[in-house]
Amino acid sequence: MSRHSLAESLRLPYPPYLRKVARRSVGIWLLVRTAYAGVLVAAAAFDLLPPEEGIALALHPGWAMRAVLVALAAFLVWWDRWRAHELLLPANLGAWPGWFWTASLLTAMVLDAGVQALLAAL
Amino acid sequence: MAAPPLFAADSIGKSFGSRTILKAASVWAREGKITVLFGRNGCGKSTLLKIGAGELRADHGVVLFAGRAYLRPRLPDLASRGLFYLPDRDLLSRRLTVREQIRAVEWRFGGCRTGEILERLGIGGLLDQTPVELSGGERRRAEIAAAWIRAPRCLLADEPFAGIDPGDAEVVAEAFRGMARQGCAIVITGHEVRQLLDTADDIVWMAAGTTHGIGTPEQAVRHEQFRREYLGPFRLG
Repeated sequence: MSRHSLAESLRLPYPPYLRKVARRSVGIWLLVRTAYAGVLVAAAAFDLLPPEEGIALALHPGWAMRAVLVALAAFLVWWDRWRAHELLLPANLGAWPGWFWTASLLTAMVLDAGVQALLAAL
Repeated sequence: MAAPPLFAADSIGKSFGSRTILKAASVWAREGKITVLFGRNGCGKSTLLKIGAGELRADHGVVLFAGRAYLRPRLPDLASRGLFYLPDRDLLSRRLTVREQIRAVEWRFGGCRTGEILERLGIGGLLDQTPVELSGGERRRAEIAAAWIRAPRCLLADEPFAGIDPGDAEVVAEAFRGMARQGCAIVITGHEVRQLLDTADDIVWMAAGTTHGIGTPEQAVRHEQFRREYLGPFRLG
């Protein structure tokens, strides 16, 4: 089975749409994660949190917070793509309805797992 | 006897909060024919089309397409069976060139007539621009080119003639006629009475949350109530 017919049977969207969602998900997840760390470091700097606790939470958020950050990043990617009107043509071409959320959430989850593993190893 | 419609949104009801837009509205499309849905501003034409395309959920009613009934239709499912929904604006991404978006259609459905369609719609020279760099008429022609290259079995087009000049309107109308000649079942909404009556095979009139099939354009302009309540002083020239 060729790559094209495989994509067709899975009802994947045109690959550039997928790549764009993946790239945006990387960029926006990094922004969200950096902002989260920044808020905790700032809270520690202003004595709202003990410094060790603030830094520990910034570097190693719990599972629930990691899930929130991934979901927030995916939502922001959706909003960005929706504003750019990039979801209607794939729908009109019969792409699988879950393609966007799957691509966006998967990208952010893989990135989250990779970054957390790296931080844990340091 | 007329062939059964390829597409029908049947007895659709829809309310937004306490405001009921559609009570029991229906619209249909037959292969090779152009149905025009008329109605005053805010009467629910776009809502009915969105529900028919699976972009909005109805409170009640059913969508029939290509022999199947859908209580909760979704655009990707209908589209994979041959429906194409052309909204009143912004079908195409603002950030991709027209060429990339045409290529997306070809990638999925092939495009053996792409060159001819682009030429007929006069957008061959605009392919490397993004939709935001185009005029309203050019953008509309590019959107219709994408729809035509897909060669849908049914096209739902919301106000395709809105805001474009008479020259572009004639090009767009000719594109719809060309698609219909290839067997596409088309539903169009709008207020450009003369253009739409010239293009239509069948007229549906929406008023007070429901719809009335009033026949051919000739029958429509002789329809007393339709003339009085929608057309006003309009006369066929």
